[in-house]
Amino acid sequence: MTLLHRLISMLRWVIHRSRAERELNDEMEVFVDMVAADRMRDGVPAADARRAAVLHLGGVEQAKERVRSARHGAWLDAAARDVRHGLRMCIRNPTFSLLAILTLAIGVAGTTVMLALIQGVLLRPLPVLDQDRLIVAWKDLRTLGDARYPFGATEIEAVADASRLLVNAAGVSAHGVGRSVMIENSVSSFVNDALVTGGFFDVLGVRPLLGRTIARADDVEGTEQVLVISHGLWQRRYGGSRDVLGHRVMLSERPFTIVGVMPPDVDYPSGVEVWRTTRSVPTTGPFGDAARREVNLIGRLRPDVTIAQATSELTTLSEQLDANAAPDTPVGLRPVVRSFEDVVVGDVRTSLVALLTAVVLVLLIASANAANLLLMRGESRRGELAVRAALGAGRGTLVRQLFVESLVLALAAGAVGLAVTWWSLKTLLPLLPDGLPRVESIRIDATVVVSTIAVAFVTALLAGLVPALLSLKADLVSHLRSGGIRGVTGPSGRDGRRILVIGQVALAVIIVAGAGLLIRSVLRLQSVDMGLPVDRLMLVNLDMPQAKYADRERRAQFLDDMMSQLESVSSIAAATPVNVSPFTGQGWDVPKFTAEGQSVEQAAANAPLNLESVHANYFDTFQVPLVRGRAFTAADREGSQDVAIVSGDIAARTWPGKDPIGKRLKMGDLPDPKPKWYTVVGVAATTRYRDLMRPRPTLYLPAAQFQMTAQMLALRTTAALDLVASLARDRVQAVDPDVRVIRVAPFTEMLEQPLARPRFNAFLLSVFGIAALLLSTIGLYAVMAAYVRQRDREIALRLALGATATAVRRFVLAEALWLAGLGAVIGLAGAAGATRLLRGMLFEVEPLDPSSIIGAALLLMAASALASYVPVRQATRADATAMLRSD
Amino acid sequence: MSDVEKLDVPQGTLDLMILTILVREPMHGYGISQRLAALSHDHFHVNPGSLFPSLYRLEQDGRLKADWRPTENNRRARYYRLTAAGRRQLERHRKRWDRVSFAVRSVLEGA
Repeated sequence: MTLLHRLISMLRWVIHRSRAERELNDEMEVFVDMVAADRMRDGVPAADARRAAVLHLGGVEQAKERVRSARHGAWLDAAARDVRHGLRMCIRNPTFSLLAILTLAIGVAGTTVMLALIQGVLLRPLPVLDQDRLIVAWKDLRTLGDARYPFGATEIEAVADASRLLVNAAGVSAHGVGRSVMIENSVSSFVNDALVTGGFFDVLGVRPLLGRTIARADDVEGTEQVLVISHGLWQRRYGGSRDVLGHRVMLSERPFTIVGVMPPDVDYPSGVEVWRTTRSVPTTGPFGDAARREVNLIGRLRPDVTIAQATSELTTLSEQLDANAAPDTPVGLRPVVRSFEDVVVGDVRTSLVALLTAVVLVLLIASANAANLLLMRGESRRGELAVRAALGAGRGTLVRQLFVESLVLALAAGAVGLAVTWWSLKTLLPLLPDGLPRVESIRIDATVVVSTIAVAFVTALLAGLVPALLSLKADLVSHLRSGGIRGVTGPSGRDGRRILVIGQVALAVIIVAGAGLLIRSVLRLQSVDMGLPVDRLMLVNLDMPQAKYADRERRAQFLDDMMSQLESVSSIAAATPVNVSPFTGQGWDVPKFTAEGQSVEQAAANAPLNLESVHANYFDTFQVPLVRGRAFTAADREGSQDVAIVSGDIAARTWPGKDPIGKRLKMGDLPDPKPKWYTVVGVAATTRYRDLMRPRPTLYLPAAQFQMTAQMLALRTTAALDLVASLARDRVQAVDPDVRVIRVAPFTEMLEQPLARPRFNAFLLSVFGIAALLLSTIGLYAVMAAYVRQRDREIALRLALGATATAVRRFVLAEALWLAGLGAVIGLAGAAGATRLLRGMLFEVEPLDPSSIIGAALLLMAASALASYVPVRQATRADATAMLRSD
Repeated sequence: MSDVEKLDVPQGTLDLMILTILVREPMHGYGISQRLAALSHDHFHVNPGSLFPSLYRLEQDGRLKADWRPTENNRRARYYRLTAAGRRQLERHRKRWDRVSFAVRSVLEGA
């Protein structure tokens, strides 16, 4: 008998099933008839003869079942039968099925969305060669702050030559991307540009999609400068045209030629649209050769070299280079080496992991809910199961069928979940905060689909198998004998469901508490006192021709003219130049300073300072109160005494209990033969201009004595912001038509950026929280409804015996609140542990913030009370006497 | 039926017996079980719960063919008859059984 033959006969059986079934049935009948006829010939009465014949066969249905299972392809048949049966059961009970599918779909969709995010951001390999061997390094300033000191292009070249552990190394801007003006066909716009040294793309090991990368030979001053553009910019701006190569554009007033396009997903530094060399930045500008100095090292390790080994080699090399360093460069800083992946993904990992944890909890709640539904149905179907067991269905068959049923539900839920995932990703992706790394690589791919199926399968296992086993645990035959078709619940089922509800409430408390913490964080962040009248401030971004304004005097004159022109507008109360946009975290650092009289050790303990170079009217414009002393004046100019204003926190820390006015400080912490001392003339209140999350200790210096690179002005207005915007544009044109206004934006708009990610996290966790709340409430409702149904006779009896409706309601409500309360208490304990995951995402809220955690518990209790309202009402509405008579 | 304790059909020999019975003439299920009892002088007791699965599997494997025919009592029953493949199978089984029974007998008598 060949395999093929067997396969064909198997198929024939499956295809001609109905005829075969009929034949089998007829044949069994005939057999029974023949046996019975023989018995009757022996004198047995007809009825007895027939019963004996059926007994001889061992039961008609049982015999048929044995024949069926002896056939080839019986398993296929059985599986098909189970699936059909599962489908039939699901269709027969549409409310139940819909509820179960929706419940599971919520859990599955939430999990897949998070998996898609995590897969895209964390798991999918970065589009570079051997990412495990890539490192990024900078130097540690050994101070309390997080200030990082860059390597510098020259040192990187020296290190790359000398290193035995690095294959190659290059430099990449230490500050991430910058914003530059790009002009093409006299249309100007901002692009995010990254400064890199020549070998950058070779170190990453990425090949261009079109054209070429930036070669070492391109990294030369004065030559024609080249640009490599990102896939995103290529699509947006050039419509993906191959003609883009050779395009000439002006970037920061220098001509560039586009030589290459990167493949998608190459997003390093984050948000980059064009890459150019550090040498393409003119050193004649106000920052000198900062572009060359402020780069981090990116390097490729030789195989099997660890980060620790690389760190120690870089330390040694760095010490050697320190020995013959130029006199004004800081020495003795220790290199810090991080894996490339760490640097790219950064702090997003924490929040994604926290969100994934939350969503897995939601999935658990959903599974518990589905399990609960299945359990309840299992109980009401106990009669059916008992009958089928008596008719010859094996216990294994029953369990298998129950499991297949929940698998059918779970797969339906998986399909719905996948659709919901697709839709939510489409909705969510545009909502994702800027600066979330690798957003481009988030999509539904095979891995995500496979994990959805896996999640659905595990859910089916959890939700289906446990109730299946539980409902079979009780002896089915004794159930039949007891006459109980209308389910009298065994204790096992009821306890199982109670445990499920308690667990659901506990998990929901954890998620809701987490959401509460994040929401409170965002509220705190939004209402934090910035020390600035934010809603009356605007920022005007200017594009000043570098060649025209390279001269410092000329630049200062222009800014002075701008200020007086703007202030002549009646609705502009004050205007002052600023060097950096607010709330970006960007700014100038003074990593080290020494107060007069401090030892080197004391100075080393000083916090790094944020440096603001400001005009005399700065404090007036921002309405930052001067706590002591005076503001800068026109008399504080080059050649007169060097003065400074410090923020209150520095004053308090550096000169505790003393009057800071007249005290002197200098930059740097090393002994200096010719120190430049700044005399403190004022103490200003602290602000969050630089960083929304925390006020930075700030040193203010007069622009006239230090330097001013401002290409923007901040305005304080008294009128509507849009009106002021057009007035400001006119005034700029009046002062110099060559200066372009790139953007006029209110400060409130700039608050959006730092708030975006906390808001997004809070939003997602709130969605999960609401889902958890809903699911667990539904779960409690279902259990309470069943509880009331099962005890309706007891309740009727109580009522008949004179209990008041209120008393009965109270005793039912007590059951509900007891379950919810126990869940809430367990949830409180869980939340106390779990909210620690959120620590890094919180702002001025403790992970154990009582109002969030206890609030969550109370919310769940309230929802539970609400959920049990309907069953409680039903408990007393039923007609007691009718109920008692019914059996 | 006698009161003598019935033997179960030895494992793996039911197919051989079915095929043997059907060599003579086509037969329905009840007839096969009756014939089996008679030929074994009532020693073998075949459970219909085992007989029918065997019949269906032999049919599915192409050893037997079945069709509905009238019985001697003018009822309709499903009659099984041997196919060519069934005859070959019977030959093979028979030869093997001969060897097995010869070998078993030799061992028992030689002991």
